[in-house]
Amino acid sequence: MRRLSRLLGVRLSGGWPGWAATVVVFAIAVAGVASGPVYIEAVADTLADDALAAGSSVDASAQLVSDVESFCGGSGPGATADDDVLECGGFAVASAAIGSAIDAIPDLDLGPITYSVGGRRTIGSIDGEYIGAEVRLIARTGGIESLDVVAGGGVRGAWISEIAAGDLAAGPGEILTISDPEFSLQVPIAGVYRDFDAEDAGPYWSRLPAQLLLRYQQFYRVSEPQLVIVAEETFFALTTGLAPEGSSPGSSVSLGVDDFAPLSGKVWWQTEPIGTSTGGGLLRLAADLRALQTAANDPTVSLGSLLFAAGMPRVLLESELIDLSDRVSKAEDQIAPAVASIQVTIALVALLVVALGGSFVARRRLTELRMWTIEGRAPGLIGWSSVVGAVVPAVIGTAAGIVLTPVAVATFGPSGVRHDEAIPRLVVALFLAAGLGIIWLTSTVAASRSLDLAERTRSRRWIWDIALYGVAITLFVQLLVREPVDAASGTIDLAVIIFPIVGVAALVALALRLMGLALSVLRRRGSGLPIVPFLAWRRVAAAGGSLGIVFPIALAAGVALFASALVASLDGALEAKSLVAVGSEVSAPYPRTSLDVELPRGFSVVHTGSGVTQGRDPVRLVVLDPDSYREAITWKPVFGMPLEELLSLLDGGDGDRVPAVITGPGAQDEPVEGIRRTQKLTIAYEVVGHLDAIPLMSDGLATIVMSRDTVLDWAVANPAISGLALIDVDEATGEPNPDDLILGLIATLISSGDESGMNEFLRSIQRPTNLVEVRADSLSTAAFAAPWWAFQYLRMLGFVALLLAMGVFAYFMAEARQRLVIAHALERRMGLSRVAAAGALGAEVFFLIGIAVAIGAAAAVVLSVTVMGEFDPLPRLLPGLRTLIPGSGFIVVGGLALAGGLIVWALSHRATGRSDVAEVLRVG
Amino acid sequence: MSAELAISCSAVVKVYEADKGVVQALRGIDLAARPGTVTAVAGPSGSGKSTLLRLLAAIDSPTAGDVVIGGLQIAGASARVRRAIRRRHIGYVQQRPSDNLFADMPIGEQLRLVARHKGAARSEVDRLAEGLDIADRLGHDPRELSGGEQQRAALARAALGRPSVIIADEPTAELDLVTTRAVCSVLGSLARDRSVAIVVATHDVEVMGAADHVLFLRDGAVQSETFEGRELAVVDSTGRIQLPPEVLSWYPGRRVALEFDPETSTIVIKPT
Repeated sequence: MRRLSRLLGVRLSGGWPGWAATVVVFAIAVAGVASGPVYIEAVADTLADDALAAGSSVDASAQLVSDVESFCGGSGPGATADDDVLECGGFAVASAAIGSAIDAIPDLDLGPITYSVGGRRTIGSIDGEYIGAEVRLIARTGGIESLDVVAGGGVRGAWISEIAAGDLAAGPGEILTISDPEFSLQVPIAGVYRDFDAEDAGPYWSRLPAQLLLRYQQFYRVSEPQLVIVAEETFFALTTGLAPEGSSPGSSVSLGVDDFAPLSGKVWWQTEPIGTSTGGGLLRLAADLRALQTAANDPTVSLGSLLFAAGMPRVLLESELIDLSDRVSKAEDQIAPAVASIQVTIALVALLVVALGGSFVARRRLTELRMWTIEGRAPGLIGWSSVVGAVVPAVIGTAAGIVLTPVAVATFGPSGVRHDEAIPRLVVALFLAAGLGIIWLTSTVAASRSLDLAERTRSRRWIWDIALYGVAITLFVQLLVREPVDAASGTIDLAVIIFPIVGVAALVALALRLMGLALSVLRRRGSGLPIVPFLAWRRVAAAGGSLGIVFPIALAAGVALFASALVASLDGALEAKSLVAVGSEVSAPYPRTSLDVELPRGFSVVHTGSGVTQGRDPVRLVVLDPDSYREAITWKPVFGMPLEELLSLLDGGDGDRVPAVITGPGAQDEPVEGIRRTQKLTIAYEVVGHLDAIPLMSDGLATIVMSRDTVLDWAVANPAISGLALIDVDEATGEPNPDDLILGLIATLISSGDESGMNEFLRSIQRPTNLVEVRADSLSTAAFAAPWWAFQYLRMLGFVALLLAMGVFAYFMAEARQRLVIAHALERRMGLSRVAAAGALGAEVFFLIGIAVAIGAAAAVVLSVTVMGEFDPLPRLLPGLRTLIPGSGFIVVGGLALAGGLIVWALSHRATGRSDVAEVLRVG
Repeated sequence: MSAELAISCSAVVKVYEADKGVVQALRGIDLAARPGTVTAVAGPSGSGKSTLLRLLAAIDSPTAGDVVIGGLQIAGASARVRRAIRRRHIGYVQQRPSDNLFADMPIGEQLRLVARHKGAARSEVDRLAEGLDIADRLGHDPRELSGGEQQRAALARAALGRPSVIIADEPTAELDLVTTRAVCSVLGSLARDRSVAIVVATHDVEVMGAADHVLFLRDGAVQSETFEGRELAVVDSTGRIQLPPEVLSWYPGRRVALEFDPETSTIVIKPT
C-alpha cells in the first residue's frame, strides 16, 4: 500500500481496515443498488415457472400467422410477369425467409406450416349437388402422414373427415367440388380420416391453429367448417392454378392456358421450443418471437420487405407463450415502480453510509487534513487526494458488487436463476461516481473546517433527527388517512413501500437518542457488576459515539424483520384472498342442466347471487351444500370461524327462518332478521353468526351465507312466503324440483383437488374446461404477485443491508484498534487474564450488536403491530391483512448478527492479543 | 527597517462570536520579527497566544489592525490568498508531536512529499535532516522516534521550502528538560542558518530564555516585552504604558509624578 501511495503521490490513509471497509461498503451497496432489474428478471422467471408448474397447460409453441394475398406471391422476388408467363415464387421465398428467421432464434425450431383457403361461405359438394358441407381447404407439413385413416389412401387428392363424408355421402375416388363466391376448385377425394377430438387431438393436430379446430364457445359447441386436407404440393397446385397436381409452387405456367387467378388465404408458421423448458427461457423465446414479428412487419428491413412484396404486409403472433409473457410483463410493470423506489431509497441510504464513512474517515484523518490545510493546500485538492486514495478499493468493491448482485438475488431472492446481463451497468457506474463524489465532498468539507476553532454544536445533529421524524410521521399519517390503493388497479402505493424504511429508521433513531441520554445517566452506575461486564459496560457507556455505529445495524435488522413480517402476513392474506376470489383450489361455472349429476368426492356446487329487499342495499347470497362443501373447500382460520362451527350454525335454527351467517362490508349494518328475494325465491333469514370472510363472497356488498338444505326445507315448509307455489312442478313427481328453487343463483363447481381432476370431471359431463379457474394460478397474476414480490425485495435488501452494516461495524472496530489495544494493555496490567480481557472485549462487541438487533427488532414489532393492516394490497378483497411475525426472520437476523459479531470479535481480539503490553503502555 | 521584517502586526484586534457571547481575544497587539530571530509569545492560558499565532500563520484574519507577512497584508485577504501566503511563507509546528507528522509514513518519505508540495529540492530534505540530526531516522515511522526527534522532524517539515516565518505553538510542551533544551538549540540555529523568523508560543522559561524577543500577553494585550535580555514596557498608540505587576506595589496610590528629560528622551516615574 505504501508503494501504491508513493506511486499515486497521495495519502492512502486508513490502512487495510479502511481499504477493506471501502471494498465491503461499495460491494454490498452496489449489490443493493444493482439488484432491482436482476430481481425483476428473476421474479419474471419465477412467475413463468409457477405458471408452467401450476399445470395451466401453457403451450410453449407459437404461431406466426398472416393473411396471404396470393399463394403465388404477388410481385415478390422470384415472381415476374410478362405477357405470357407468371413466375410464381414470391410466397415461397418469403415463407422460406420466415422459416430461416425462426430457425435462427436459439432454442427455437420451425414446426409444421399450415396453409388454408376458404371459410364459412365455402361449400364442398359432389357432382354439382349444392347440398353439401361447409369446408375449408388446408395443407399442413406432414399432415397427410398424421391422419387417422378411415378409408382410402395416398397423397394425391383430398382427405375429408368422417362427418364431411357423411354429410356429402361421398367417399374415395369421387370428385369434390369446393366452391366459394370467389372461386371453385375440383379435387378427387383420396381418403376419409377420423375426426379430431377437440379436447384431445393428439400432439400433432392439437397444435393446429385454433381457428381451424372445433371449439367450444362458452357452453355451446360451435362447428368450424370441416377440414379438407391435402398435401402441400396439391394445395399450391390448386390455389395457384400453375401446375398439375404433384408440382410444387414456383413452377411456371402459361397464362394463356388458364385464366385462373391465384387464391388468397392464410398461412401459419408454427414454432417449437427446443432445449428450454424454464419459465425464463420461454420468456426470452417470447421476446425473440416478438422481435421477429416486428422485423416481419417492418418493410424497411429485408424480412419485412420480402413479406410485404409477397402480399403479406401484416404478420401476427399467436401463442399462449405470448399471453404468459404479457401476464408476466404486467406483473413486472407493476413491481418495477416499487422496486425502483426501494432501489432509489437503498441507493440514497448507501450513499449516506458512504458519506458517514467518509466523514468518519475524515475525522480520523483530521490531523492530516489540518496539516495540509495549514501548509496551504486547497480543500478541494485535499478532497481529491482522498478520492484517489479511495478509488482503487471502491472500484474493486464495485466489481465485487457486480459479481455479488446475482448471487444475492439468487440467495435471498425468488429463484436460483442468475441474470447477470440485467445488471444496470450505467446505474452502477453512476453510483460509483456519486460515491467517490461524496468522498471528495466529505473530505473537502472536513478540510475546510479543520482549522475552525469551535466544534459544531450538538443541536445541529438534532435537525437531522427532527427531519427524519417529520418525514416518518408524514408518511404514517398519509398511510392512515389515504384512500387505499388497490393493487388490482395496477399500481402499488409507494408510501407503503417507503414507509418501512423511513418508519424503522425513525424509531431506531429515537431509541438510540433515548439510549444515549440513558447512558449518560447510567454511566455512573454498574459498580456492583463483576469486573468483566463492568469494563464492557463502562466502555460502552463512556463511548456515546459507539451508538452511532449501532444505527445502521439496527436499521437493517429492523427493515429485514419488518419486511419478513410483511411477507409472511401477505403470504397468509393472499392465499386466503385467492381462495375467496376463486372459491376453492379450483372452480368453474356449472350449468344448471348438470345439477342432477352426482358429484364425485371432493366436489361441491356453491350457489351465489344477489339478494334484494326494498329499501336496503342488495347483498350477495352464498348458498352452500353442507354435505359436500367440507371436502371441496380449503378452509382457513382467517375466515374467522372453524368450518364445522359454520356448518353447525347453518344447520341450526328453529324452522321459522333460515339460519344465516353474515360477512363482508356493511355486514354490521344488516338487521338480525331479514328477508331477501332472489329471482325465484324469497328467503326469511336470521343472522346466527359473523364471519371475517368466505370464498365467493362479494368484495363490495354484505354477504349472507346459508345452507342449501335448510333453504330448501324452509321453502317447502313455507310455500306462501317463499313463493314455492309459483315454481313449476316436476312432471314425473308432481313436486317442485328443489334445484329450480335456486335457479336465480349462479352455480359454481368448486373442488379442493387439482385442475386435472376438475378437467376430467367436466369432460365426463361434456362441459368445456376453458373456464376453469385455478387458485394457484391467480397467485401469479399481477394483482396478487406484485405486492408480494415488492416486499420480498425489501426483505432481501434488509438482509443485504445487515451484511453492509456488519461490514461497517467491523471497520469501526478496526479503526478503534488503538483504543482497544490500550484498554487491553491496561486490563492486563490490572492483572486480568487474557481470557478475561477477551471476555470484556467480547462483551462490548456483543453488547453493541445485541442492542442494535434488539432495537431494530423492537421497531419492527411495533410497526408490524400498529400499521400492518394498512399494507393490505387488496383491501377490498377480504380477509384483511393479519400480522404474522415469523420466527424464521429473527433466526436469520440473529444468525447474521451473531456470525458478524464473532468475526468482529475475533479480528479485534487478534489485534489486541498481538500487542506488546509494555510497549503499548510506554508509547500509547 | 520594516522592509527587513519577516512578519509584523500592528494594533491587531480579534473578536470571536462564541456560544457564550462575544469574546475579544486580542486587544491591539503589535509585534515585529526580523529574519534570523526567535520570538517567544508567552502568557497564561486564555491570554490570546494561540489566537495571535493563527493570525501570524495567516490561518485567520484580524478583526482590526493588520498582519504583514513577506510584505503581504493578511487583513481583507481572501482564503485563497491566505492559503498561498501559508504555502509560500509559513512553516507551522503544532504542540503535540503526533499532530505534525503522518502516523503511518516514514519520516523521510513524508518530508519528501511536503518538499514536493512546496516546490523544494529533495536535497533540501537531506540538508535539513542532517542539520537537525535526524538523518539516520528518515526511514522510521514517527512512532519509532522519541518526542524530541519527532519535534525536530516537525521543524524540518516546517522549514522545507524556505518559509519566511516558522510558527510553533508550544513545541516543547510535552518534552522533558533535556529535550526542550535541544529543541531550543535547534530553533536558534534554524533561525540563524536559514535566516527565518521563528515565532513560538510557550510557557517554558527555557524557550523564553533562548528567544531574542519575548512578548508576555495577558487578557489579549501585551503586558510586557523583553528584547535581547532587556525588559521593556509597552507604550501603546495612545501613549499608555503598562508596567510589570511586580513594580505596581511601588505606587500604592496609583498616582505618579513624571519627569521628562528631552535631551536623553528619558521619563522618570516617581511615587507621589
